[in-house]
Amino acid sequence: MSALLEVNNVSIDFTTESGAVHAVREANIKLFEGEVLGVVGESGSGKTQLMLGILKLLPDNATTTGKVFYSDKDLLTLNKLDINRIRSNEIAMIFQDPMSSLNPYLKVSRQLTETLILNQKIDKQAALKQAIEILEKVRIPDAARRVHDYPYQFSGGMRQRIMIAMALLRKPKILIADEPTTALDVTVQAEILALLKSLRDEFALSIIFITHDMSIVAGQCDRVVVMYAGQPVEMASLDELFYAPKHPYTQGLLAAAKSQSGLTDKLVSIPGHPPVNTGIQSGCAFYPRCEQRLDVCRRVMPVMTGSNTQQQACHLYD
Amino acid sequence: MRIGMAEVKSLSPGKQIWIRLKANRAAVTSMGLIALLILMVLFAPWLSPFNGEDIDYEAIAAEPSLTSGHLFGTDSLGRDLFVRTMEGSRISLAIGLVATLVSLIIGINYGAIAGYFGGRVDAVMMRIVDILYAMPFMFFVILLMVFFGRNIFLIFFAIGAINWLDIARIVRGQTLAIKQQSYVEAARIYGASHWHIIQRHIVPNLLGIVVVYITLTIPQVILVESFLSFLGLGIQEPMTSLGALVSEGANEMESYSWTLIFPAVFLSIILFCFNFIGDGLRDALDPKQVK
Amino acid sequence: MTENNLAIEVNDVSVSFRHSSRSLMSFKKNSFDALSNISINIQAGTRLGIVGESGSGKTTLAKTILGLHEPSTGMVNFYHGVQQNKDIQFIFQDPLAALNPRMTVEQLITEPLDYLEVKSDHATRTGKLKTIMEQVGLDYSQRQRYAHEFSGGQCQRIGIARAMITEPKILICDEPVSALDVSVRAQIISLLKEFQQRLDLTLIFIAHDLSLVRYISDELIVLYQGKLMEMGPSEEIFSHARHPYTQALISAEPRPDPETERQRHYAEYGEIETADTKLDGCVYAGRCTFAQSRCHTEAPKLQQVGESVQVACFFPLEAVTSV
Repeated sequence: MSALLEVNNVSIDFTTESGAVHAVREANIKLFEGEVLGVVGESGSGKTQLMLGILKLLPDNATTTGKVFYSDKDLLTLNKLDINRIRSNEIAMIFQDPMSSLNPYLKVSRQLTETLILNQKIDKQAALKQAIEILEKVRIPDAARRVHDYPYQFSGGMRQRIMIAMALLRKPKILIADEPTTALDVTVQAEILALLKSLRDEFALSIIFITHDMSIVAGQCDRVVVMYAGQPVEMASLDELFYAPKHPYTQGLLAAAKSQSGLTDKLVSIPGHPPVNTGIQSGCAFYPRCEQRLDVCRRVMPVMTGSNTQQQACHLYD
Repeated sequence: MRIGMAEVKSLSPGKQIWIRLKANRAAVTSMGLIALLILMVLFAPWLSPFNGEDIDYEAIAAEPSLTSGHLFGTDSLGRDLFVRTMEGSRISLAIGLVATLVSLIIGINYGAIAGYFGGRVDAVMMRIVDILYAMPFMFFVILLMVFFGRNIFLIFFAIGAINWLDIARIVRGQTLAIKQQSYVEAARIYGASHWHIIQRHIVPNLLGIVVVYITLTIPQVILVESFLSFLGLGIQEPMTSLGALVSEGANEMESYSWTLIFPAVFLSIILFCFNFIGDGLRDALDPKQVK
Repeated sequence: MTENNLAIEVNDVSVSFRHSSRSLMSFKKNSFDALSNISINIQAGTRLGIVGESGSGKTTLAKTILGLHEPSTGMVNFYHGVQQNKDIQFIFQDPLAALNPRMTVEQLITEPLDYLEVKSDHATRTGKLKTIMEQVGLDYSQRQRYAHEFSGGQCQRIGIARAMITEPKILICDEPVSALDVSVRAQIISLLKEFQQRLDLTLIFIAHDLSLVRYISDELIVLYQGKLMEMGPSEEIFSHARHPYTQALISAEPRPDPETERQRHYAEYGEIETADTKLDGCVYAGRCTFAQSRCHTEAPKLQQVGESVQVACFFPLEAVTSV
């Protein structure tokens, strides 16, 4: 089966006043139709930059190399007009902080209908009707009345729903969700996650779910990519990843996550911390923290190897 | 809210700003020019055999020429214009710096106190500022000059005492923002007194914006002094400032244009340079420029 | 619970904030009740967990104990030789924001020493700095660096060093690991536990969910919209949550296990309503799946259930297997 979205050897570098920062290094990721792909990583993993890079949303001091294939086109080569058309219409993105996507000075109705009127060339009444419909789909109570409210009049969870509604307005094929529930209370999070699940079926979405939280991955994703220091280090189906993780980082992350969820007696962590500064390294970036490291790990950077369904970048499996 | 990838630096905040500033060509050129100017102004008069007071009876209102030694020519009284321009620049710069310093000291303290304590204190203090803003500056300066004479120190003080209003407002605004930061709260929790907090946490984090303000205030102050001189209220003879020179030169503009051109050029250069430096600093300090 | 070990007594404390102008959201009152009638006894040397979602008042409670807020009614009393303005320290949720960007690590950590009654000389200060940096796992040679050069976890260590250098008796931690990477959280929690054990600190740990709190609390209180819902030994509450809200918090949390998640039934938890729309009845009644008519008209008071748990609910839950 061919992939809906294929990230091919993408690297992203930033030029800053203190030298180059390698945010993402040779990432290869595929998203298949109808699946939810989890992209897991902590700070410095490059997961957010990679997603922004796909949609060419990075600042000017970023250089992106590689190819991103979608619908027989390389997104990275598209001009401004074409990539704009792809954004929102075909690939939509929602973020952690809904307030940054919502204009506090405009009513929700205006923000929802604006894009419809511009893109679909329908009149105000029809656009408003669609807006109310989509708000009902994301379970905003009393949508017909509340569509005329301002963003600040909604709670955090509801604003996130509105953002989801805005993303789905144009019925995109792919939704990229960047930590959509991190800032929410746990009870509200549970509802948003449930909502995303039902919307996925209803809108036939393929979703890329970026998160640092393994518990969310366990409930939402079909396949998972684990990133560390700018590189994918493991890629597997959900069960393979959770029940038979191969990369030491994945194993450590899972152990930490499980212990923090009260599933074990003791709290565990991985010694050290994720790299603060991704300069050029030889060898594996996880080497300093790895308890199963070999000598070769210090000198040679591992590449992804494995089967079609489970791959890892680790010398233990070479 | 995640702690994202920290910057790839092992530099203090000051050094970061310096690097960014250096990348701005206009600012760097301006800094160079000002440095050059300051050197010239301090040392050049020794290069010239003339001083600014002696009258050269053989060269009254003479054109600039290399042979006569009057590089910039002389004015209508026969005084060497080069030396006078240097002296004038020196005085203008001095006034700029000192008056700005005065307004800084008053303004930072006033603004930080108003912003930090907030509430009624803030309201009263800022209303006073509003009232003072509304008052005609020239009127007061003229009053001061009339009562106390045209003393150079009085001019320093008068100009400084007016400019502090702007700085106070800016500092107050910044203080309000800084006050909300967690590290200020932390300081309160571990027992820092109000004064300690203002001194150690608020003011150092203000300095960035204050420095920008200084570089933009200096030209303002120089211009004010020039204006006063132009009106005949500024520096007393035999001391001179660029403003006074321009004023004199303007009178002679049609016949002895060099008496206007040289001081005017120097004045313009100083004003431009400080403005460019100020702009450069403002850009360098803008945190949004950082990835 | 023996009374003679009491360190902090929160006595019927309510905290209201007045809006300085008419708020567009609350049309009825012009004040906002952040906390209502909170009474807690905190024993010296215990570890107390305060759990609540946004709007629960947990941070307000912490700041009231610290003395940063004045209670509108009731008061906070200190015993056991504890002085409010000297013996309590605080760890912030955002480690980097809590550190002055223009100060070096050395300046940051040693600053509290300047405000002690007994000033230390340079040698003592250096000694204390060295010791505390070692204890929190920071490299002494890094003391001239600036906060932004460190990772989140290291910044939090700096914050802990700063808090502990004056040897406080009580340490309040406001979600100290929420902003940190998962792989690093346990390190910080262990560090806090170490300090608590070594110095017999009274530790107050604020969290927005129940996951981590069980590792670092002996006693637990659950807040909702400024009111106490449930209070008692944490083991007891985790094994048998009696308040429907506590139960909701426990069940709403996802687990890092696909099998468990596949079998999850998504319950309706409802949106958090703003406090001022509810005047009568239980504050949680609007979202509670077990609410009955009495819940909407009468506000339940804390009642003792079981050996040592108190619940504010007319119909506390029977034993449910909590995960």
